[in-house]
Amino acid sequence: MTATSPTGGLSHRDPIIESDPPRRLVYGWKPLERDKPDERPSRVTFELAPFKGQTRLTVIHDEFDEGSKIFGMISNGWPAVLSSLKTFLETGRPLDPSWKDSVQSCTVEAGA
Amino acid sequence: MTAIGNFKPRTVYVTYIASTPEKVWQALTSSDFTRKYFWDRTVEIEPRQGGAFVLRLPDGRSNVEGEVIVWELPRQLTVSWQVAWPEEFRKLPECLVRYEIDQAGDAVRLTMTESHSWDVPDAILSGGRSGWPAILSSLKSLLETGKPLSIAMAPPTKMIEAIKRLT
Repeated sequence: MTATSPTGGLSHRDPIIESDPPRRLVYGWKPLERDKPDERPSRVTFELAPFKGQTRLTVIHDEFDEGSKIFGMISNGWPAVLSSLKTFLETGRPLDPSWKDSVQSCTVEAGA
Repeated sequence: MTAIGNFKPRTVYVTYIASTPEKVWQALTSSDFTRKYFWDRTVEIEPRQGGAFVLRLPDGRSNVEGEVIVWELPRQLTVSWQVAWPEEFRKLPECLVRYEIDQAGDAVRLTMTESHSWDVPDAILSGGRSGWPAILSSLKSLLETGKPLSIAMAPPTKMIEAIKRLT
């Protein structure tokens, strides 16, 4: 799985760990941008469950290093990305991407 | 008055909504909205700190009772949250539910934080952790598309069993 940034740089080149369309997708996670902390790859799991024409999407991001800085970044990032994904699927338009400018550091307690 | 310093955040859910802070506030505090996204419940809330807060079932029984801890329109609403129905859930100590509303570009960031004053087992937290994403996803759909989601949901079995074991 590769991802490129809007400026064309490679931001991810991660192995697919499991793919069972359209129920489950698991891949490794290591940001490659130079300004991102150099940590061991973590892991993202997407689980999709259908319900009356709707879908419950569960995202589990785990296997972080102790004291990971990336954990804090993704804790801010996923809610915005997944909110925009939902808006895009339901209305055809994504959310205004300027959320990035307004994200504050927030504390996510254990298990949340 | 609830001593909020004793409560620790245990569940946080963040969602971004294409709406305004005022609209999101209205969705949280008006029955015209809660009826659509919060499983037919109506809300009664006195618009001041110390005011009464009730979530009511369609048959008129109260589902949740509490008190307004913070009323800061349209930025923050915090209420104490005592489950009154189902009957056996009355054993649960009250928790705090805080909604924070922030402008984020053209969208609004809504942060729901559920805090507890005791060492809550994960089995009991599982109720909020399955319920809040459903409720707040439906609120987001309602504000963005005019239509709520339709999600049937009951408290997780492990939660009900853990509540039975409470003394």
